[in-house]
Amino acid sequence: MTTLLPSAYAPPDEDVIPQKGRNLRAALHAFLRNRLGVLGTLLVVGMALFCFVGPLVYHTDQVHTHLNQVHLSPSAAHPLGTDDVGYDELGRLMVGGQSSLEVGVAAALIATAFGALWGAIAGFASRWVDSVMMRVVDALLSVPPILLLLFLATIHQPSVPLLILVVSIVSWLIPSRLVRGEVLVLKERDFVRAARLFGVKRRRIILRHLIPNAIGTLVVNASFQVADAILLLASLSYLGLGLPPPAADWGGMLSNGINYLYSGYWWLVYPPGLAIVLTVVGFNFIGDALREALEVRLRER
Amino acid sequence: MGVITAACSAGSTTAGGGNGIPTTGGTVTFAENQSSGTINWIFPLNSLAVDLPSNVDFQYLQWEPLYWFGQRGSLTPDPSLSLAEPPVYSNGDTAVTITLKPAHWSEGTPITSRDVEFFINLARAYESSWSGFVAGEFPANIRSIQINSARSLTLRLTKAFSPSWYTDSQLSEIIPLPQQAWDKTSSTGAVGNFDLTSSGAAKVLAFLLGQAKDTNAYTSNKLWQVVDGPWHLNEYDPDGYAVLTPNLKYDIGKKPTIGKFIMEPFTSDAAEANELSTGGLTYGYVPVSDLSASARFTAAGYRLVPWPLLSISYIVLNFNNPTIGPALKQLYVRQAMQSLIDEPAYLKSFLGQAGVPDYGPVPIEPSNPYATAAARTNPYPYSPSHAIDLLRAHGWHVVPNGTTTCTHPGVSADECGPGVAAGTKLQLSLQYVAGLPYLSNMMQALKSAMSLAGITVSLSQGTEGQVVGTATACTGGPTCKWQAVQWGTPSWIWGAPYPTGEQLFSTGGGVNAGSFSNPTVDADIAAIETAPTAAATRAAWARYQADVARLLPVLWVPNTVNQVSAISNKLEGATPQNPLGYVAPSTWTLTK
Repeated sequence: MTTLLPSAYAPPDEDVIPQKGRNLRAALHAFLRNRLGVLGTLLVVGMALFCFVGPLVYHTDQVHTHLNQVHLSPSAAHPLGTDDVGYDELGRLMVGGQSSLEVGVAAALIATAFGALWGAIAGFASRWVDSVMMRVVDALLSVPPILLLLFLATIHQPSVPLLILVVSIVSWLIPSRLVRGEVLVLKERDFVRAARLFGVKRRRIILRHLIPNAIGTLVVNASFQVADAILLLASLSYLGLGLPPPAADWGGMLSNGINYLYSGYWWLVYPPGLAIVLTVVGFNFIGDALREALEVRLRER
Repeated sequence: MGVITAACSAGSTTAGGGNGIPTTGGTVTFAENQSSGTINWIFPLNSLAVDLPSNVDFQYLQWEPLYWFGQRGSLTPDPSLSLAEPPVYSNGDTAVTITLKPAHWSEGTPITSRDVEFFINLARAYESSWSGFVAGEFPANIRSIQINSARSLTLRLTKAFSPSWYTDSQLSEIIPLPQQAWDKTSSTGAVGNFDLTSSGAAKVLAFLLGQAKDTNAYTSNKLWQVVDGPWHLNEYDPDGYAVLTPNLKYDIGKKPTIGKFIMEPFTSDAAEANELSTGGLTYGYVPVSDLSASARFTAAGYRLVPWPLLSISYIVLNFNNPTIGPALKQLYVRQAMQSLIDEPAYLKSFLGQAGVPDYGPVPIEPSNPYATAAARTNPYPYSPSHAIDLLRAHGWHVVPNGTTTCTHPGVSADECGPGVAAGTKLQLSLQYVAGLPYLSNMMQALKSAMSLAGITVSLSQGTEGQVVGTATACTGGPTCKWQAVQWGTPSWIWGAPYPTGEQLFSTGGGVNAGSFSNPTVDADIAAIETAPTAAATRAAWARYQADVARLLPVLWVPNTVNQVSAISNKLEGATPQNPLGYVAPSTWTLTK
């Protein structure tokens, strides 16, 4: 064993970086060959531009209500009509999208980062610590997320940071399980054993060896997490626990529009509904494409 | 009202209704209106936190009040549903004699004068926690109770009162309760006469309140099965779902012909409208946001009938909040805020005219003998510039779309006023009931208009129970956190046909959640209660209305009709609807 180890343990500084570069290029190539992945990217980039650059071009007052302009149907002045307090619907879609995307992306990042760390520690630690940490995850998974969200959202005034926190709290569980599974496999691999034999500290092993090797799983999961977070935020807003006015988000807009379904104000329902669907589908396409690109077996198929 | 009238006439010609032949049995499903709250309290003595129209309706079906008002749209007591004969005043209006009809509790024992006394003693024990409490009024204005016979008692009063006020506003609070079943201090203890001493009454009350808190036991607890109303509870879910079946021993009025009365809660107006459009309800309502599509509901076999109540609508301000209370106590601040509430525009844009403006303490609809011509005029018409001028003239640095702050503290006419510190910001958190789109729109518009004068309003939503529960009177300090609430429109519905404001606007009134206190208003209310002649009563009413409209104990918002009811064409006897909001399904019939 002692003679074998040095050759099995690849020294990080010489070989790995060019290998990584090659891998990345191959993955990017595979991603770009996936039409749905490209379409997803276009959708997400398009939505981000619409929400964040749109208001710079298309100016509307999304703070003051306009009581003499409620429920106007689409026209040249208001391409998507106005809502029930006279806000321009197109402008509102942009502003609402900002908070939906901010919450979605930030919550996914936080949930993935925290979940990865939790899972890696659990997978790498002793059986006893692993058991305790994963039972915590199991226990939290058994609580219906919507119940937890409703509880938190009712005791605090909803705001973008709070919603990010609330959505993250229920979203980190799945990534933690995924990463733990990866780590359980990885920690038996020779390079990790070697690192332990060389006396590398646990923290460094987790951060430098385990998490980077699980990055493929994480990136794929993160893209799905964004989609899930946007949907979760939409359902919270749909229940009236989203951002208080005059702030807006797509779920809240949709929920509001549903009230007027029988009155035939379609412009209050389809645009936010479509925005949610397109963004979620976009992120899902990206996730699928990333999975194929990063998973060597699928790429070569 | 154009939309509603059109809907009504369309409703009368709709197919799919009954053929008018009455049936016995059958189920009537009644939708609990979002703004009425969901049923969560069975015991007929309510604290402010559970004083919701749905609870009162629910309780009245099981325990009949002494006098039943508002039946068939009339503001006088209905003899067929009332438990007692009309009261007789004597001794220069300082005594009133009540004679009960011969009637029985569901367990077979007769209803007696002791049951009336039992209620009065419990109300006395509940003191200021009871929502009907007003310092110095019922039951404190009863000096002694004299039991004349099993069915007659005389209340000796502390002074002479106007008989119409006393009957309509005080005796109307009484709901006789089964003393021979409820007068005990523990579940296993024997029934006694504990209520006759104040300490005993407090123990009985504590026991009954404790039992009522256990909502899971509403159908299994034997206490609640002793009723004298036409219905008793058969099934209940703590989310507010209640199934009532006829009390076969009911003998106060006509026995129900309907076999089952279901009260169904909804989490949103939209959910109710969905159920309505599938024909799943017998008696529901068309949400305001769907009024423009009313043909859909008439086609499903309903007639649409607006239901105005003797009610008013307002935003409650917490005068004792340590942060914003001192500023709210300044009349000019409230005047500025009221000048930023554009009632006519809210009615036009959000309510489809299914409401009327409310500028004072007496409603202008349904028509009543109390509202003066002045009630139709807005003393503070919408004017952001006037609001800004008012604040500037009193030492505030006004920053439109920013935050207005007090820069000249002091008590002079051109300073912020007593208690308002330098640097005080005009920032107000306002909680309102979720699930009502028109209310949400009104609150958004209000927030937007307030910002024009630099008044920052932070909006949040809650369920009716949460909002009403938040807004309890407090005397300052760190726990007195809430600042303003709108717990739904109508905000206050009179349960008696006498729209006085002693519970709402008098110092220490049971529903005076914001702790408003003004000697002029207190004096005006007292004058109405004791006015010796009809002319003096009219003058007292006029003065009270003018003063309250001017002094703004609350911020007025448009008063909506209780609901635009959607009543199945198969249901008869449900209209005209009660202007006090009660339902009497024992008088309804289903047709084939």
